[in-house]
Amino acid sequence: MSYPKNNWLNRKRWALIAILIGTVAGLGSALICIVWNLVIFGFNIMYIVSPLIAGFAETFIARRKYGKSTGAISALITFILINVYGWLFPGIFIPKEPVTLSIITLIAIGLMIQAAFPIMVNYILFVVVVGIFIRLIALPARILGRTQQIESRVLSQSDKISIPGVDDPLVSIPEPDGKKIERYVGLVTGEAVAKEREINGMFNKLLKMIQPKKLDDLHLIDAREAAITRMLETAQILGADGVVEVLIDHISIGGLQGFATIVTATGTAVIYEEKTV
Amino acid sequence: MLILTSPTIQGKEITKYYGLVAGDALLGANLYKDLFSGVRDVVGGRTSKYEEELTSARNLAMESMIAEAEKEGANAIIGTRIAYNNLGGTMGNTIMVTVVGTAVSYKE
Repeated sequence: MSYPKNNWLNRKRWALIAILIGTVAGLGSALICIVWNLVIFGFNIMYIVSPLIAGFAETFIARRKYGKSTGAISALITFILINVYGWLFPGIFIPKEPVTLSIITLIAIGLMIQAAFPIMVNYILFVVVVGIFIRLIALPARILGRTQQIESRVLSQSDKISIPGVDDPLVSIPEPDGKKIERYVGLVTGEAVAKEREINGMFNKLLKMIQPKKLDDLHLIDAREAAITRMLETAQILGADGVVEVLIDHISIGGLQGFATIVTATGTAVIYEEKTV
Repeated sequence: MLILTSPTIQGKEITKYYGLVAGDALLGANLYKDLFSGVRDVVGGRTSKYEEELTSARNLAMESMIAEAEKEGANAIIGTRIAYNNLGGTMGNTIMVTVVGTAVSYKE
């Protein structure tokens, strides 16, 4: 016979012990802070330090014994208990003044919440605040009512580049008509980073973050020509006189801070058979 | 080892197909460090640090593909495709370079 509840207790016992020890460590440190009156700018440091100590102790034990983190539950418990004590029942253990509101205490409350709920506060700071900021910058563009249209334009042909002294064009097919390939040389590649157009002015730079990209913003043609040129140079060094099956690929890399586009060209370098008439 | 992107070898006979061989390499890009400090000023020049890194990642992927083909006993890889995938990330980006081909044996 197995009792599911006992099993659960057995499995979770280290997690519970970790939370318990964390809470005791947090409250113990809070008690030390109160007894020794560790006050900075009229604010007892226990509000910040104790949840941190509780969370640290709990995570340390949980990692060692339970195998994974328990999510700093004791930090939360400590946070609630010391705030109930500090705001509602001040001076039960040691007579002291209740906490009063001031700029310092407000900042300290912020720090305290950050210590107790790090993930939530970081989310608010880095996602919600930044998101609102970006929306606000986007507002002028919305008011101007510019709808973005999808651009499509024929960019200049880049197959005009070829190996010097050879008039065979580059092809993207495996076997150009009417030509015999004498020998395959192998894979040749080339790549280039597409340079972004320089943007002047702070406002334009901010606006750039939220506006869709335009074709002119990137020096795509230059990058593609550079990639093909590099590929051809490799082919020439290897002694080839043509490149077949040329594929051009674009990869975009970038995150919040900026982006770059890499253009790559891949092909098979070949030596054609001499034309016999 | 002959490596081609074309599906056939002109003038040669393929005697045996060994199946797909692949190789991967990851390239970690730190946007702050590599891309926008180093690359910007050298893009106009010959090669940038970033392009060199990409080349070395591709070579690494190719090497592991070739090693796999050699283990099978092939002497050529046909239909080779190189794919560059962005694996994302906000602080830096990781690019995966994948090389896939078909290992074959050919004779004159």
